[in-house]
Amino acid sequence: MADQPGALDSIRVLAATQIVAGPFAGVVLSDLGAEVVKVEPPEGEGYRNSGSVVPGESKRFQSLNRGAKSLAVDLATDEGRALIHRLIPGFDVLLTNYRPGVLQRMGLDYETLSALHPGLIYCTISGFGEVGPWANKGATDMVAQAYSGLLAMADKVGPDGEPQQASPAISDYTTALACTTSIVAALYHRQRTGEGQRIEGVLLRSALAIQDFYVMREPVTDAILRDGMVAQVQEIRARGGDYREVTEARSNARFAAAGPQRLYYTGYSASDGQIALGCLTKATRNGARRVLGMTEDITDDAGYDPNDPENARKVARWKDQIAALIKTQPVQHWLDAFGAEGVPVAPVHIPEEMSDDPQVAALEGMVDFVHPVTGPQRLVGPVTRMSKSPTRAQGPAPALAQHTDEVLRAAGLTDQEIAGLRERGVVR
Amino acid sequence: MADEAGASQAKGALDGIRVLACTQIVAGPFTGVVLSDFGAEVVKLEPLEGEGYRTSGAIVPNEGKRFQSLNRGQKSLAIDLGSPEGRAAVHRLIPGFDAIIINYRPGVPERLGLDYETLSALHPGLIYCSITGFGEEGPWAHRGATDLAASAYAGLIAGDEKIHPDGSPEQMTPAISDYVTGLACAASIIAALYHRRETGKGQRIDAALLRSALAIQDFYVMRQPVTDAILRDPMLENVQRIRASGGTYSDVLEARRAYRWAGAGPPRLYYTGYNCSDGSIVLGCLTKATRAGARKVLGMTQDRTDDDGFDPTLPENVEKVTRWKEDVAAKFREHTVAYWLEAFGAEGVPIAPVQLPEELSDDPQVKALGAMVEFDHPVTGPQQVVGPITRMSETPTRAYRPSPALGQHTDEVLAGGGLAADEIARLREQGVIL
Repeated sequence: MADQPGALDSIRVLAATQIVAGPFAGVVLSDLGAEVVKVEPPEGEGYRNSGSVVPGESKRFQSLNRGAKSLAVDLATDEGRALIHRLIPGFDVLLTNYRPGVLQRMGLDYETLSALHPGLIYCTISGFGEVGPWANKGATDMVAQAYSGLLAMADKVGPDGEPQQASPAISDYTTALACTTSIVAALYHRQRTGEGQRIEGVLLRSALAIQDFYVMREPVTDAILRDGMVAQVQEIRARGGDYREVTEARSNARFAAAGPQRLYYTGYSASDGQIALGCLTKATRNGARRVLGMTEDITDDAGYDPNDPENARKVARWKDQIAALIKTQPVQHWLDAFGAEGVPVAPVHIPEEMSDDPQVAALEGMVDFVHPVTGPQRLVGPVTRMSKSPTRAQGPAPALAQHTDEVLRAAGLTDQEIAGLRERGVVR
Repeated sequence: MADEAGASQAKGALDGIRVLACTQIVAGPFTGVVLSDFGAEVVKLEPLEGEGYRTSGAIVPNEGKRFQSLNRGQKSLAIDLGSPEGRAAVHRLIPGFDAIIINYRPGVPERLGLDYETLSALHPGLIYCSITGFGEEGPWAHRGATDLAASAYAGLIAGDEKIHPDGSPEQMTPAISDYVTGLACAASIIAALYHRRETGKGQRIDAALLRSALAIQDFYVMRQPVTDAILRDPMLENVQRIRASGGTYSDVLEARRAYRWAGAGPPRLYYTGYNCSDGSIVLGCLTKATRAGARKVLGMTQDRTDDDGFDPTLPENVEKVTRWKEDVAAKFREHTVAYWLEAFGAEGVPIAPVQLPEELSDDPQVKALGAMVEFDHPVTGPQQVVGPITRMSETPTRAYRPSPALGQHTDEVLAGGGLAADEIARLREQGVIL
């Protein structure tokens, strides 16, 4: 299996990408076997310095650009733009998350590139799309999260009552996967018809997609559950109520009912760490009840009314009781006890400990590389595993301009031409 | 793009592809939604009583919004796989499908005759996509998982730092590891279709909530000794010490936060949320240029956090930035959301109002994107659902139909699989199908 090519073997992607959304789409495409060439300005993409200890080589950048090659070209120069235009016919896909105005300026707009290469698959990522009152506004994950409802959904209120970001940058990552899926679908279509096309990824759109049933409207349900809450929130805002009040009004409406999930789809503290119970079915909740000795709990009985205030008080009392019980034993005790009953349970890890986790190791979820600048590193591997066209992390992130010569030579430029371009500061 | 000539008649990229969806809750169904938006015919295989999530939060029995939203575009085939006849009927249909998605608990596919060995023997070109919580091997492989369990295990919920007033860890919403896995599967299934067209071979795809949860936390999980020695390793030791001594979850998160936010860099002021006089906004500045715009609007002439040589870890700088943040917060309270959107917008500063997901169906930008789709559901009537994840010019993505009523397409699918009308009638009499 190890020598088999990936599904996108021999597909070439030119990635004019920055920060998270564009680069992560590049990672996934490269894991599927594509050759991803990242075109960077001569000073490097800005995210190279985000949280960096070694200049130009931050963990963030390295993680989000693994598997890519670096081609450093100054697209502010006519010669740089002409150079990229010369390379375009050699690529199958252009992937970008620059702002539309910037793309025009760099000569990377759809009209120009599709005229040079009609079979090109051209994928843009923007915050709000290209139409509508918010068209072409600059956006970062935080802004798209706020606008789309994701931030309020995360329901995190800072110490001063202000809205707090959900982490990681979910609208970025989701958009990246949405674009990858669409690019692969477009390649499939091109394989059948020879046609290229244009793909538009929008942070707002993908943020909605992962909140689908909260955003969805259905008058018969909404009249009972949604409409009153939204009216209440608007009233709170109009009288100058703060974010805490808004999120409380929404959670009160969402969690009004004291259903069994309150007890069995939630987190608890054990004596040496935390666990989460993840029961979504009666069968798994019954398992949890057996472990916890919750014989009196009737929340799954037919006829149980979760909206009865008396029941809500009971459930609150049971929750305290369960919390106190779980606190008496270590995490491992509960993993064993719930595990034996088939109850979904897990320890609450912090992300920084996952690189050494035995289950992650069993999945070969991490890959080891030696980075040309910063040395040995261990990175998160591909999003799925495939049996006949294996997904595979191709390599570490490139050092700035590491592949300029290789990419230009492959496009037919002579060493002399390349040297000239470098002397004139067009490439690095 | 939507109004390009002929686009509305153009076929989706996966036109002619058939997917059997043995799916439940979120991850599997969402994979089905995405594939159907690309034009695939997605047939959801349900037990006779319906998938359990049909009743989640349901006002109308069996037709909860969650189920309807996560199964739009699909057809419903209701078969009792507990009976040998039911399993035999599905096996007869398998050669007519290109791909199958399964997110049942480990062990259940085997019991239902839906395991890879059985199905790939019936149809070697089949693309078989399995979704589990923790993967196919390793000490946790056999464990059932839901989004909360996988997200807790993978570090996502601690990474999000949400804590219940009683001090316990709180879940993240939406069910991120489910949705991300759904997208990862959709991408992989289409890549496998591409590969099959070149080689004729089907294959097996393994997705795990754990794996995709790691993928979206990539740089937190990543190891790089040169950086980690300074930032990660001491934090982790600290966390382990806190846990061993019975410290609280809040202590653990505090220790991690100190590591993540060491220093008072400019994101503290300009990549964060504020309350206004009639709602809340966020500033989303990640570059010097956009922060300079934000400073201009706020009159923050004294702010040197972006100057060369500014040391964000210096205690006096931390104190200064903390004070500035309070000043900025007070200023925001003086004006409305609309006022600030205009002021920052004029300077090209990334900014947005903090909206509720429930408000987005009526949002003018969402309308302009055509991101909501209207349907008339056969049971519950008119509805608006969230549309496809992207837009494509030649093979338009499109929400094709609302979620199916239970068993709505049983006859259609079985007849399409070559079963005669009297066979179908007999299966129904025997209670094998609905």
